[in-house]
Amino acid sequence: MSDVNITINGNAVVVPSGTTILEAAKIINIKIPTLCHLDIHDLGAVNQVASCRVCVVEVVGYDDLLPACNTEVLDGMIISTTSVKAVLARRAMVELLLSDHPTDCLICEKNMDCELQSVAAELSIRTSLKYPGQKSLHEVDDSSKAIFRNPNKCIMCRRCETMCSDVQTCNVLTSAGDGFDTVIQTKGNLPLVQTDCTFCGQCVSVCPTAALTEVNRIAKVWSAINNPKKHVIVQTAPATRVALGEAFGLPAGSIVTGKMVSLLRKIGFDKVYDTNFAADLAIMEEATEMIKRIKEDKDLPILTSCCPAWVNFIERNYPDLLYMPSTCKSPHQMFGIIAKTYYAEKIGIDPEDIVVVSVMPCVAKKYEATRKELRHNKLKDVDYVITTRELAMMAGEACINFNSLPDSEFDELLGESSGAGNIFATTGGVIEATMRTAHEWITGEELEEIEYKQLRGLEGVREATITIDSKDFNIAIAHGLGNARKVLDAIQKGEKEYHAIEIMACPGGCIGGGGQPYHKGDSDIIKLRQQAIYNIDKNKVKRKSHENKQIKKLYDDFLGEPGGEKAHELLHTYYKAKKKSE
Amino acid sequence: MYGVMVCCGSGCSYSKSEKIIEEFQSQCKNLGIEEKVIILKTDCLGFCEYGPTVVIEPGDSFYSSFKLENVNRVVTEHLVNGSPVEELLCHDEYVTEAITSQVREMFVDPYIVKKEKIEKYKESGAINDIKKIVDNNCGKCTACRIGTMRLYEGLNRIIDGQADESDLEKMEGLCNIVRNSSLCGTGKTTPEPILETLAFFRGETDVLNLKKIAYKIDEDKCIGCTLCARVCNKGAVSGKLKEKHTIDEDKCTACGDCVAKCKFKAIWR
Repeated sequence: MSDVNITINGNAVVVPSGTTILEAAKIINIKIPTLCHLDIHDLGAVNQVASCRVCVVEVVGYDDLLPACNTEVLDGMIISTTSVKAVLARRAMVELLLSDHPTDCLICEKNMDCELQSVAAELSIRTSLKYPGQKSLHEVDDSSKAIFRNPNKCIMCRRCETMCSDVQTCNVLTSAGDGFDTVIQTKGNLPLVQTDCTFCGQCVSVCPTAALTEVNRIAKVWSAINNPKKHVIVQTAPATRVALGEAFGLPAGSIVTGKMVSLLRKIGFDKVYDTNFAADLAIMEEATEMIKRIKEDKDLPILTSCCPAWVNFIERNYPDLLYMPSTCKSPHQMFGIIAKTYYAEKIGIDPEDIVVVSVMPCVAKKYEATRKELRHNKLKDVDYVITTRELAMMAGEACINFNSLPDSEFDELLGESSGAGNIFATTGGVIEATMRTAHEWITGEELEEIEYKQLRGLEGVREATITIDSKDFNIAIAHGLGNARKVLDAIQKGEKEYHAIEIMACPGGCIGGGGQPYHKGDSDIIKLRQQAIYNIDKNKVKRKSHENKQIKKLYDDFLGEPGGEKAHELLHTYYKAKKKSE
Repeated sequence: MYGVMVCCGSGCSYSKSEKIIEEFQSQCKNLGIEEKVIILKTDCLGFCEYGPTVVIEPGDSFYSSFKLENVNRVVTEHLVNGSPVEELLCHDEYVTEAITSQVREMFVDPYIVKKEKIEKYKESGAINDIKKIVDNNCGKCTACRIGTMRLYEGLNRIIDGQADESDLEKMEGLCNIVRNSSLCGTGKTTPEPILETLAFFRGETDVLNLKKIAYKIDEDKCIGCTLCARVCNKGAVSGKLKEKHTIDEDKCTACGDCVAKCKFKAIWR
């Protein structure tokens, strides 16, 4: 690729050909406002439709203004971001968007986190009445337990469509209608629950406004905490501790485990536990299941099942492959059932009085917690799921200064965890944790090289062969449902044969989940979170799930054998084929 | 008064239609009739196979496959003597009918400015054409999706007599922005007829049915200090010392000088 010479606002700059005006301006620290633009190259999510026109700039020789986000620079271009024509047009675009947008910012779910709001503030727009007129009116969709859609707040940036169709290949969200009434809606304008939606929440994580948000459960959690009859316990997912700090202004990748535990205690949870503990438990079950299946050479490959969006996806799209996913429940569901059986017994509280709250990086977990088969004695395994973002909101409500909180430890009994449980948060982590345990169980010898570097990375589909006891295990890892589809299609056609496959619905795994603080299109944030996850693992003394003492005690006192009868009753589930909508 | 519209869509441009415009301009200037002829460059009229095309209004004369050397004949015979050059006109009935109605709707004959033209504008249904674009554009970019809707609403306000001078300015600004910032031709061309209309009717406030802007004096608040009467350089305020003052709405230009002077906040709009 050759270089091109261009001038932006009088500054000469040399960039490789193929660079967009936006990227070129960024090099010389000129920030052009954007709204619809989304470029998470590393994760395959690129939205460059240039629909919002907020980034238009003037280029000498062109009558019309050009959108900076998808116009490639040409040699000799003289670009001005400051010309009156461009400034007025950018302003007008935001003013037009505001003229067709509700003005309830103060009580909006995305207040202070809204990209439309910040662009409007950046351009000092102080009135939305410059272009008064009719506002579009669409029905809100509150049918699902996970995602709330308010199309009235949609600005037609189509990021959600890119995520849903191009990255996740679910094709649920699409634009419909013509002209002024154009809106993003579900296929056939059905309520979300009746569509093929997997509730992965990637649409939520990229939506610049509050057109797509998680279903807020904060009020329910508060009322449980305030109910003196209830014993409210909380568990936190591995991915929340590396992202929660971002909501309080800390740099991406900050590890805030200790502060987070203090925060949860201050909020008023009776006990603070760790989903990592349950992740270790899941490894015990999953490794047992994997070894058994490989020994019998039956029902291979084994697919991981800790991602609820992925489970929804396979139930709808590959009903003939439903024998493949491991029957293990997801870790937070395992935790819920253990809390309401083993833990209730230990501390002598009626399971009906225990409320289990999960803090998750995920929107689909909200849906998962309501699944009918994930109940025991008519009690839900997990009562409420809140996202990392919602936890940050709760801290704000309770006036807790997060950054000055002291570090503290998880409570005893269900709080210990190994490094293996922690790496569940990233793509490749679950399978790495499983292999660590499987290796030691198969060989009976201690694993020398704990880190399986060949399983790590951020490529959409990764393959590796791991040799244990001179037997080769073919492993595949996919993150993002589009990549999962590629792997499953290859298996269906018989092109590929694997022993085990790990699949995560969200790009990057749980660290890039739909419930995490908004990354706003910055893939570095996801990389830093991943690095932090591996650092936590590195600094743990125990890095294999079967070394977790509290897990051993749980099996000795209560469950018996991994994969045994009681474990099967409590920790395993089943899958149902669902009809795919036409 | 004649309007000469030369198509400069991509097809016609390729056949050097811009040269034709230049030729028209220079010949009109040479004959001293440039003030009587408005020469316009238009976007694609949709009959590229007949290009380059030239339409002369009034009279809906549609010249097809126009050649540079024909400019002289058309100028002398049509623009000076007033008789269209029959042999150069297009005789395909379907095309002439389609193109003339299209041109009329797009440009609403704004070239001969007469009071009754606003009535004709209402009758012409041009505003419905804009409504069609509001309802049927692809909905992708902000400029076209929301911008054309706001233009349509503004146009309606003008026709209904709800608009004032500042609305016109805003309309013109928005027209330019929608034209400059839209993704495709739909958004780029929609504001054209509105801009044309504004260009020709601007200043004819009675034609445009504009709301008259004038200040009024609140009788309860006015104490007759005469400050406003002294500051008004249009002589619009009348009244004696210590008596209630009044503003002559016809003379008032809403400059706001009196508002700034009044200490009793008695003047309002």
